[in-house]
Amino acid sequence: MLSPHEKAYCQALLALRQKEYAKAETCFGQAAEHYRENREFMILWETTRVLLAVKRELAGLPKEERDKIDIEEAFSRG
Amino acid sequence: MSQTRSLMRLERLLETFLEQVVATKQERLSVLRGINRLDDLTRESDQGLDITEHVGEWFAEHNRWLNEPQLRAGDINRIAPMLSKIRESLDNRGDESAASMKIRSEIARWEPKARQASQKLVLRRGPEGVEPQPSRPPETPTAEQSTGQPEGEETIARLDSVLGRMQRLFTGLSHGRKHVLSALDSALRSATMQRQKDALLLSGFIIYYLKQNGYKVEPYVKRLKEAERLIREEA
Repeated sequence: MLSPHEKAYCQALLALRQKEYAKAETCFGQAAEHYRENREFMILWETTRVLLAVKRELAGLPKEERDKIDIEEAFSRG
Repeated sequence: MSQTRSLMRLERLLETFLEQVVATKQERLSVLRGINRLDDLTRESDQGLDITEHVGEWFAEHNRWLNEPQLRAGDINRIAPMLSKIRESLDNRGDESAASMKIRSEIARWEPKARQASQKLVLRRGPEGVEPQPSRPPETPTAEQSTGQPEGEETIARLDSVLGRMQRLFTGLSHGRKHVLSALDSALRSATMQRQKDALLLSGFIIYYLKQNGYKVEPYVKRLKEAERLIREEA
């Protein structure tokens, strides 16, 4: 059977496919003990972590500011 | 550019990167998803739960793997013991229902695939310059016999192929492990439980390597001999 670490890595990748980034981050964390030397693992884990941090940061901004950006982007693309 | 705008761009960039990584691994992820699901089912069956219906669904979804090339030797080496375990728990429960019999026959369909991952090495002559022993059993016909290759080159090609399979097997078995001893343990288990000759050869190689590096290998040698005996008996 799969070891808990393999299973966690596998679930992390499947979570990424579903764009469930928080779940992916948790699963990467569970797999980390065995995959720290694996470059691909680390890149995916770090990217997910940074992405979640960015999302958290954005979530803390007032809604109006985000909406304003969306409108500006829509205009700038014509 | 405002901080908010930068953050939003970064968010989009990171999401796109992850989406593209996932997209390049689509096929692999589908295999992983299938193996992971089977692993869940194996655990549930180990706990005595009735998983017949779910295993039936798993076969319905994944039997196409039998005829398609996406499975690696390492994948088959993962799937085969899970299927054996599921069959074992069906046997332990004494489940003789039609659904359970169907599962058994599906598992039997996977057995040649598992064996295929560990094709036999058949040496059809001795070293160069040595006449074949007359008392040897008839030689097994092989695909290479029809290729017109000279015998000497054929033995080299065969060994080359075995080494390639062993390399892939080792990659699969050592994936996520911390020490070569864990990979050796898995190789010996594959050799013993699945009668895999490649796993036996790989175990022998790792044991010799460890011995050369000062490890105590006696317990592993015992297990190797036991696996060798089982494989010989089955041949």
